[in-house]
Amino acid sequence: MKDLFVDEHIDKQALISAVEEFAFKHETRQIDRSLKKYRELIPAKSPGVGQQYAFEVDMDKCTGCKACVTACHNENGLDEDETWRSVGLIHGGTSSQPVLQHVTTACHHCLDPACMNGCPTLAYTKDPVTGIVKHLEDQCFGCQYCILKCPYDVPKYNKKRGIVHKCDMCIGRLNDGQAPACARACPNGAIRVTLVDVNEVKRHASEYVKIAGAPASDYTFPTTKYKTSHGFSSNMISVDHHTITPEHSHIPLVVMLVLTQLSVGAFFMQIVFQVLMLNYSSIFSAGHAAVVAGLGLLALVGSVCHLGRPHLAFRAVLGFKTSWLSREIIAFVFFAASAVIYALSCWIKPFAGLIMSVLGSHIFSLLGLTVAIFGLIGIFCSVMVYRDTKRPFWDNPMTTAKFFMTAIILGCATMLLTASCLGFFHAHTIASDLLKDFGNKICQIIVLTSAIKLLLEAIILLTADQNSLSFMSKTAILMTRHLKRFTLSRFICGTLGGIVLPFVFMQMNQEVELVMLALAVFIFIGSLAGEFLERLLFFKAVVPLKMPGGLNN
Amino acid sequence: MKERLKNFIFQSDGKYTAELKLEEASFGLGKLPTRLLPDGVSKSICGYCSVGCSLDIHIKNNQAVNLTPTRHYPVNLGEACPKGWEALTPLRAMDRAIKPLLRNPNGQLEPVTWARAMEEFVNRFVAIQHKYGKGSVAFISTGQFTNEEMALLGVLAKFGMGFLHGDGNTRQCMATAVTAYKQSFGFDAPPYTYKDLEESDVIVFVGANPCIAHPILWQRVCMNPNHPEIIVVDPRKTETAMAATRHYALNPKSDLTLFYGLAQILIANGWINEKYINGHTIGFADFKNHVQLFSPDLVSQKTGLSMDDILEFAELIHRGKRVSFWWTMGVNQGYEAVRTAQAIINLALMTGNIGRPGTGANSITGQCNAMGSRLFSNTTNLLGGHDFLNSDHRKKIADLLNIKEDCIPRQNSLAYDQIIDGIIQNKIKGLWVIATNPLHSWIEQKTLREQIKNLDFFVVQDMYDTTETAQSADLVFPAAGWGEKEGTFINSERRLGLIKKVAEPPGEAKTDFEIFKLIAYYWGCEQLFTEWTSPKEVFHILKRIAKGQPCDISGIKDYQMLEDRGGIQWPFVLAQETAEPERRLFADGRYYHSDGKARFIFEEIKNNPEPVCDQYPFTLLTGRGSSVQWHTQTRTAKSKILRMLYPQQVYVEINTDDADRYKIRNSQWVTVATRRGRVRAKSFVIPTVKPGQLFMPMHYEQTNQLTLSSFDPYSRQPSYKTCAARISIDEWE
Repeated sequence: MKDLFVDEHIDKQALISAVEEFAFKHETRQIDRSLKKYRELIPAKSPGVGQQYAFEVDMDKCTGCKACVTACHNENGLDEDETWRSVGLIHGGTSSQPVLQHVTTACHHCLDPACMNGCPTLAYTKDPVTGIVKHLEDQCFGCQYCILKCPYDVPKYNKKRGIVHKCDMCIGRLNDGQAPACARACPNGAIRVTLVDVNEVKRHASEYVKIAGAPASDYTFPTTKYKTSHGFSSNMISVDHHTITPEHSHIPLVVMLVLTQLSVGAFFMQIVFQVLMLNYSSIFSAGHAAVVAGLGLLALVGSVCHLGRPHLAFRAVLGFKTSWLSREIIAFVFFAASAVIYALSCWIKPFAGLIMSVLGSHIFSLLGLTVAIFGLIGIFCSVMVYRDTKRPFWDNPMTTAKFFMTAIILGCATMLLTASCLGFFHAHTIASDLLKDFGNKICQIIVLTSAIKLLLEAIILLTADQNSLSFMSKTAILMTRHLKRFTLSRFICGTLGGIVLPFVFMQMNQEVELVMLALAVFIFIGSLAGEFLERLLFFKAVVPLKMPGGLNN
Repeated sequence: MKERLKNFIFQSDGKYTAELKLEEASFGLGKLPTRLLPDGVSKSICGYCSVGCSLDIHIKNNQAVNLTPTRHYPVNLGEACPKGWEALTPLRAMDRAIKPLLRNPNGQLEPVTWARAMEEFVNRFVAIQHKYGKGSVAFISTGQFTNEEMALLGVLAKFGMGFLHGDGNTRQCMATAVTAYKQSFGFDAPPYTYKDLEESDVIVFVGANPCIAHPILWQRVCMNPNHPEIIVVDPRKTETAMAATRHYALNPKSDLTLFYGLAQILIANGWINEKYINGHTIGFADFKNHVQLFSPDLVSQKTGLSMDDILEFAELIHRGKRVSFWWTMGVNQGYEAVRTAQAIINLALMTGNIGRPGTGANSITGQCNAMGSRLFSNTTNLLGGHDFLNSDHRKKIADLLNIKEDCIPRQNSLAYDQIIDGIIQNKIKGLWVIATNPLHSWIEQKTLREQIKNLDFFVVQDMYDTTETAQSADLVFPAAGWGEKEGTFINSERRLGLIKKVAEPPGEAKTDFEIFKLIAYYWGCEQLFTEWTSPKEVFHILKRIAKGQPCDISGIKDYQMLEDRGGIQWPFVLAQETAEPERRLFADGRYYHSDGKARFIFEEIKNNPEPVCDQYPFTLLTGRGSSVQWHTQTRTAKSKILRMLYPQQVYVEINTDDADRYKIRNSQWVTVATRRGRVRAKSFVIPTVKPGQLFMPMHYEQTNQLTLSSFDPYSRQPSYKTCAARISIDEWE
């Protein structure tokens, strides 16, 4: 009986009772534009010639409530952990005159947007009238290069969809005379949209996004103006200045970079030996070429895995005019394609004959040269992809040196390996000759290059300084503390595979082929592992450019 | 085909673009994402803090899908803080309590039917009362649910079940203001309306950080057209102190000295309103005598402020035409808090800064319905601000409720801390905790955690069965939350507002109202509640109870009227209704004491119960760290967006110079210890805390492992804000 009471005798408050009673207002009231408060948040006119929309933040009014962040999330219907505005905190001064300032930030709708310039698919546009930097969701294939490119950490990857999302200044609202969600939600009216003169922004770039910890404005020409009536002391820092955390590993990119560089390096070795050895055998080159082309293809597949929407990978070529990523992809596609043709022609005699009869007998040297040139261009583009992000650890001659030296080390190690394999399994005399004549030379190159490369990498570690906390110092701290195991492994692998074992190789009696083969295998594995780890650290230990963060990060 | 190919290569529109498209919504909401366009809107008062913002809940297909702050509501004028914006998210949390849970003989909580849960509840409480007496059981409730639920619980427990003791978590936030107002004005009556923030020319914030704690009130300060002098009295350089025109960073707990000192200067210079003092107050002569000793010199010594600062402060008060004083937890949570609040009230009274626009001695409340709890919870007061000790009041209430007078206890309830003492002394054997999480929030937490094991029966009623408190219970009732029920709240400025049911409670969770009705039935006292059929009906009972009291609301016809008027402030007396949307008290200078006069109340300065020493050289301050956390994070932590906006681990703010001395770097694990215990925290080195002080935010469970059990003797409010501590580089590492 009592159970019955539980279920039936309580007057359950009916669902949405209140709504039915008074809440549904069936009139379709227009937004109340008469509210002065909202009217003042956007310019009365659309941008004229030479003008664009820009956020303006009155820092005196921003007191850190963060309503703008939640309003952006709610009013734009974003995912449960997604928002396009964030609030950082900077502080400084002295104990008697302390200063505390929250910094609300979203996209700065730059004059020269790094995200747009870097996008390989043309998924960014800069609206010719409003100047708003708009991301085209359906064009994006989720390579996330814009995230690396933006010096303000604005674009955010949406894993569920495999694409990037970013602030569009609520262009849909602005075009209809309504203020962006963040501006309207600020209880103190700290965020407004204003018109800025494009030339003015260019002339006085440093006056825009002038905030402690923010990157220099002459890179992308951000348009947000942060106003303050009192100015800030020179010792202002962001509260996350001391927070040092490793970045994403980007494993597919690690694989892609190392393998393309290996492939290019190994191919170059092949060309070199074709020149050096008159009796250079086609069987040998066939084996080697297959390895080279195979790994090159693997690298490309690896990079496609990195995409949020891999089926649209072909769109990568669209941005070649401005995007180093597009150029890198184009170069490597040509490299892989020509390397495959080259490898095929080594393997299939009729195929080679066919090509020669059509294009003449010099075609092989020409094809080889083509592969080599595309390979070199490819590596150069890879270098530029990362240098173009302006992140200090990446935008550094060291990156150029590292990428090309990886090609040399792994190219030599691959050559040593394929020659040893052929010599051992096929009793291939030319391969054996090659090892005899040039084995030591190859090892010398490996030792020398590895030694220089390891030394360069070690120099970075020395910049670790808890007190200065520059970008490079943070990278060094990451490597020596947070990523200590990776760093240690990197140096062990590099030293063993690149220095100790090649040195042993040079001292050995070359008659014992099994030992030589074993050594070649371990040199290859050691060097490859070492380079993988170096590249992993390259991604994990970089310190991105960004706006000051909050205590939360 | 050509189009498709073109799209394949370059696609500027499609499903992902469509997801983010905005379309003009109805109801004046402006543009919203197409898939979230509501087909109805329901206004509801926010269920977090006492500011009492109105939120437009967007309804689509009978589901609450989104919300925006109500534009035309006199409190928030279209704005909300992040908690309000995210108010719906905690309802959808995965760890909602969906079934009653009973601890089985193996010590695990296991799901049971409501009927079984009810029988257990009744049998165990009856058995305890039988064995140890009626007074051996107690409840601890909340400022988080509706007036109607508070009254129902109060009547059920005290008149139906024979409980003598019940208190609320409002003891932790507002008890001081209640006591101060009662003693000074004759009734617990915050005199202001929010518009006063716009109308002052001098605004004094004491122990308050509205920029972070009440951002929507700060909005009103920003709207003030008079370029007001904004004075902040706070040991820390808070956001509000940054935005102020003057910041007086006094030593912790030297505020009472400062206010007596200011009174002394005002009197000495004749900067007082004698006409007002003579006409409307009592006790000024004694007060004058008392403050004479507080010379600027002495005050400077005690407060750490310079004499110039103190004189300047007094002069600013004197020069202001409309000076308003606002205080919150920095005052309320102290060991001499009531006298401090009254020292502020005294300043307002002696300068005549009360009852006029832009003036007042104004306590900003904490919880969404703390004010309702003060008036209708039947805990500290008999319902409607009446007195348990007054036989006329008991008779009046008995008659109004149509119950026997001897149902009503003739004694006051124990306060929160005394109930806990009762557990320690084996006097309280059964405890029922509703919508609060004391095992996280209570001062000197460890003591309570140990003592809770002494109980014979411990019941928790909550939205989540994962709170620290629910996890220790013998029986858990799954409760509906804000948004899943209807009723009324009263905000800081005495405004009654409506909350609506816009979502269904999950599983078998029931509204607190329904749970209390069920208990009444199982206890066998349902005959007391024949008239208490729904919150709407209970509202009429509340009107009857409050009639003739200062908090008279007899002029409010029904819920519909509250909806139409954008909330209504008490008093709102039948036949004296006014359309004025923002009203303040005491315009006529008549207070609620029988002689109509306010009292000057003062006392000697007390010693800090735990001064710093060589071993514990720091003063540990606690308080609010961010605007996005609420209470013990039971609700706010359920929103991923809010979680992105505050640190996930507890941190301690330490001054830059102190950090240098202790070789503590930023963002490093450190140990903070007091005589109660030690905790690990991340260091946050910042000059905004003064040397010799540490600050820890209260929203992390660790913080109250450190605080000291000490209380204001009049309000019994815990003194959270000061104890002696030491800090060192992590002892665990």
